[in-house]
Amino acid sequence: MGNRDTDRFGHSPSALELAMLEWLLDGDDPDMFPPPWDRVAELVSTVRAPITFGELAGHERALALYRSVADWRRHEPTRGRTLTAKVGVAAGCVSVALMSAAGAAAAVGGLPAPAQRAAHVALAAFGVDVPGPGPASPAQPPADGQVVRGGGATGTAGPRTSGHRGASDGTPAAVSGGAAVSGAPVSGAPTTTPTSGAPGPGSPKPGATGVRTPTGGGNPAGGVGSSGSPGNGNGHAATGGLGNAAGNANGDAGSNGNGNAQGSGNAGSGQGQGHAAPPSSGAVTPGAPAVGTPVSSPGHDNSARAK
Amino acid sequence: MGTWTGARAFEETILDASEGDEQAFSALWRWLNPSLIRYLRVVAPGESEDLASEVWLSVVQGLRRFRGDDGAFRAWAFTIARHRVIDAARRRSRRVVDNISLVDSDAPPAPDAALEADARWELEACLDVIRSLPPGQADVVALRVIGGLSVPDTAAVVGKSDGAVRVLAHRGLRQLAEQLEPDGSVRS
Repeated sequence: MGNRDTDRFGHSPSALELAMLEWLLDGDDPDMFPPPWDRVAELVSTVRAPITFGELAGHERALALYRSVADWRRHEPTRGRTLTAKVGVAAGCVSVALMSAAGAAAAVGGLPAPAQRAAHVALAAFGVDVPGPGPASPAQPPADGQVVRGGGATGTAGPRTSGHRGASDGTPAAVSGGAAVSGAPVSGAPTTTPTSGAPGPGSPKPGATGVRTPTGGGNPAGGVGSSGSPGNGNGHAATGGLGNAAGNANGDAGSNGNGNAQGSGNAGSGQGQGHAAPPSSGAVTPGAPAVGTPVSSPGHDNSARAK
Repeated sequence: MGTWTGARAFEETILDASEGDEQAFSALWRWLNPSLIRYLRVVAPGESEDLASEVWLSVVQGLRRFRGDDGAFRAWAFTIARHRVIDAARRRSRRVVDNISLVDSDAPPAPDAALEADARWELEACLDVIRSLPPGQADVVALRVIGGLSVPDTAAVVGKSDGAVRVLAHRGLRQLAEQLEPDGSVRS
């Protein structure tokens, strides 16, 4: 029995024998096989014999098992639907949150350049302007007073302007009420509602929708919110949501940053990039309460650039 | 014993059984359970009934997910059976075996008790012969002979190549031929 591939007579299996074994396994008639394979064929035939009655035992028990599983299954779809609904709601919430965040980021130009470019192009098709991936970084206001329209997270179109520029003492820290004014014209008469009248020193006045909170040193002078006053061109009007409003109070008064940005770099920096108007007739000296109605000098009007 | 013998098409029967049709399930059970029990008697004597119940539980739970024909169904069921046998061998040492036999509990009365007894005795003797083979050969021979599985299906069940299955089957059958006397008794 050294070689297990040979039988007791030392025969190696031939192809014929292997084929015969396959026939045998197929359950062919035992009489067609030579000895000793006929006995194996009979064994195969026996173990493949039709079922005995004893082998039908357990049928009732198997049916009971089947019923129990079937009963359990009847509740499965409900649970499945509930779970699916929960997952769907959760996924929807996450999607809305992500889209909102992306929209907000796109509105302020906070997306990476490729994404910002894509958002700019895509939303432009719907009449919504978002800043492109230009040189102006999201934290920087447009350099030349271009009106940046576009909605925020809520998709409100139009410039985010304050019209409530609060001139402080050179440290723009005012929180300009930044109601996004939709539909503000790019040029022409501003649609913002100047509400920043003459705030008293240190007395923040609420803007249209926000609260101006002078936090700069000295007496914050409330810049007269006559930005873009009629007839004064549109340089002041509808200033971009990125803080490109022309200064009109004391030259470096912070316009609205992002409509509601608190002392963000938009305000001051925006002015520093050419929007700051020198104190005009309505200039407010730092620390002095604003009086009068500061009007931007024509020379610093952004209207031309805004166009 | 291998191919589907039900009155309705196999695919239709499977679909109905997966949707709660007891008649369809009964047809499946009557077709498959005898060979399943016989296979389990070879590879797990003494636990065949319990293991068969476990196999059917798994089958019922997986009916909705099953896709395939009757051959695939047999291969699937015998794969489950073989896994249950392996699990049973692992827990055998610490498990208290419930020896309630399904065979004697609700078996219908045989029309001819003598013939029934003879058939069962003869079947049991043949299963004993196959059981006497080395485990690997007994497993393959039982799957091929009793289960009616093809070489590829058997190879998939036991996790071996087709060639290895053919070799094991050949050796097992040849050993059976050497053990069996002309009258069918086992050479001592």
